[in-house]
Amino acid sequence: MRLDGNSTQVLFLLMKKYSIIHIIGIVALILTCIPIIYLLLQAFRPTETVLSNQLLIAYIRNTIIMILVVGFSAGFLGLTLAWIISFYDFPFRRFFKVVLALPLAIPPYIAAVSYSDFMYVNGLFPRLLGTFGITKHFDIMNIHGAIFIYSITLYPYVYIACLSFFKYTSASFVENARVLKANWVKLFSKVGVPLARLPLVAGLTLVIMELVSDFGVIDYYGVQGFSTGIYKIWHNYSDFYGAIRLSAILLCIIFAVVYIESFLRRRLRYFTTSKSKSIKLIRVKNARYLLIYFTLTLIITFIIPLIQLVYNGIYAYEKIWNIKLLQVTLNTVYYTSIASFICVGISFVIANYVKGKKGIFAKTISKLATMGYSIPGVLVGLSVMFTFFDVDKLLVPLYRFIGIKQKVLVLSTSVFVFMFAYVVRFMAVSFNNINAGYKKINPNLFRASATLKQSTSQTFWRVDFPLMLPTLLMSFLLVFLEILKELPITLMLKPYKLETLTGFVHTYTHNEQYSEASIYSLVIILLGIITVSLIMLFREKKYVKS
Amino acid sequence: MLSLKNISFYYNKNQMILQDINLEVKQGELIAILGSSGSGKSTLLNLVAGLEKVSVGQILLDQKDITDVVCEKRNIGMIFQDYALFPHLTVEKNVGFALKSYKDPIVDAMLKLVKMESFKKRYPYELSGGEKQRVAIARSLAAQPKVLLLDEPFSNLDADLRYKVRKEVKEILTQANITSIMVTHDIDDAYDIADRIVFLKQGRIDRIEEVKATKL
Repeated sequence: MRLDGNSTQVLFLLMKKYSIIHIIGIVALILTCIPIIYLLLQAFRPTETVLSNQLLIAYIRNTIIMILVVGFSAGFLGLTLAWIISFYDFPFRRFFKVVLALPLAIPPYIAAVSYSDFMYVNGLFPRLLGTFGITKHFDIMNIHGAIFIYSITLYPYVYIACLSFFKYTSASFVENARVLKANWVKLFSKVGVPLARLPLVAGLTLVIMELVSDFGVIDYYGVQGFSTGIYKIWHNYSDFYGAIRLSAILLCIIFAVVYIESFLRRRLRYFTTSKSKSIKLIRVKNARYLLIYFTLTLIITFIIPLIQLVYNGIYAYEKIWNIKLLQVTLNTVYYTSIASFICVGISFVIANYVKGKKGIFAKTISKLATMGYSIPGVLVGLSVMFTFFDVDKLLVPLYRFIGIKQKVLVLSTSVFVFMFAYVVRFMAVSFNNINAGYKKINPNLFRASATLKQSTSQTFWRVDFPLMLPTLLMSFLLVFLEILKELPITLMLKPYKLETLTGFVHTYTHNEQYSEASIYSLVIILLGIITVSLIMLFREKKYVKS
Repeated sequence: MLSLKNISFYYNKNQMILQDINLEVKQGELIAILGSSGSGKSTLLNLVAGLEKVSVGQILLDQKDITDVVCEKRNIGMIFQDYALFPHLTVEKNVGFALKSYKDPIVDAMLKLVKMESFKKRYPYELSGGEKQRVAIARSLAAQPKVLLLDEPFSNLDADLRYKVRKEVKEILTQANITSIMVTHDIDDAYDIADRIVFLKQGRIDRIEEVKATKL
């Protein structure tokens, strides 16, 4: 391709205004947004669909019920645990502080499978009750069960958000309330809850996003929800446009949640505090009830699903524990790491570009970078798949030219598209984290570098990169954890020959081979535990002193 | 040496930050820009440094128009109010930041000038306010700029140290024979070390005073 005079001039002007690294980042970002925009445009096509009003009402009703109940329970659990750990001193406090974040390592669909086994007729729980002479079993494969699973697996989002906020909260609020003779109930309700409104809103938004985007739990428990609806309408009825319309309705709900969150954030901004006085922990004289609360939470949210998986896994241990498991694990780590690395790389460049800028272009770029996370995995999977189907159709002459004779779907069935979808979905996780990291760095450092004759690229490598390294590592871990737990994109876009842990868990679970699925689930959880522990460790350390 | 010709700056035309600034700064001269907060004095430094873009007017350095030259190519150094030392680099690496290597003899010469030779392996968080400031000066001078800008350089220092550091800075700048513009809101700072004082009021130059003449 040859550039004419005008094109060369435009290119030269672009290069003069933006550094090459920024141009690459912005182009990569725009590419990741194309599938979503392409999909939304399809929603306006007038076509027949199997989507009935009755079905739609069921989806909306179930989703609203789940949002309200899970929002309350996860919010209560996360806030109370973070409040007690941040302001009270009791035995095993440090231990609980870390382990209560570990349920984040358990993907909700694995917890769902594990708990349904635990509660089933011959499950561990009815047998345990049997030893006390009680004969009862519990069917949790319904909306109540789904609510329970979401509450115990998603509460860490609120817990971690509140924990971070309280870490930078001045002790004066609590001390003043104590001087005014507030008891622990009053202290929590009159100081803790109002103080934590900001992280509570942020944490609950993440919980709701995860809930409405989740596919695995409602699919396994047979609850009619948006994600399963979209998947089934597309997969079982081949009704692409029905799936897209349902997606559009879901997007409206999600954008409403995002709007409410940003509105509440603006209103609650005055609650943000800077740490003017360090927290002196309040000694708990009789910690028995506290320890019961913490231990029960840990048992229900983490230990029971883990024990059930280990119990199931014993039967398949010899069959599954082989070199193939190692290969699949390495495959998963490899592809998850690559996708996480790409997410962090693009986010870093974009965050570097938008830092300190207030123009419309920078704001639009920021919005585009955070768009993916609010779009469910099923929808991202669909949009990427259909975009690349059309790209493949366009490229058929090229495929024939380079010697690919039989295949039409070359790109759309490749690892590239699989990775691409992950980047579309999870770039927001890394971007938000890196953007927040930039806000903690003194902007004069970048200006000082410019006055010391360093170009934008030199400043990027000599100042931004070393200062942001801890944040970049943290972002990598966060994205890694999210991709590790992701299910719908893996199901929809994983190339046929590529074997991943999530793929095996889903296949074995659908074939009711729970023992086999358990081993793969345990490996996912183990990787998750390592990642969550590293995240918690990073949060405690101060790598750059200033 | 440095000329500001009819400089104006605004974010939108109804909200002028700086208006019609004309100023000539001679080689080796130290000018203090004095004004209350919001008078536009820091913005003026940012315009000269190239950190903000001039809305109207021209900036000339040695008769050469540098109005549209990017910050890193202007050869104008700046010392920030919070010193902006790179926290991940030692003192010597901070000072040698603009050079090809921090082992360049200029680094040692600058550290000697600011009497910080024995601190070169330390990190910024291990230094006091006055020490940080001397490193910031050494770092800016090591880049061998034609003009040095100082944004409220003494505002982070307590009263005792302020007087001492003020004298030291004056000495260093005189020895280096560098043209400097210092922004301050403290009249003592201005009268103590500047050759001329520019009084800025609501974005305009109110008056210019020769300090030596006043002292005499």
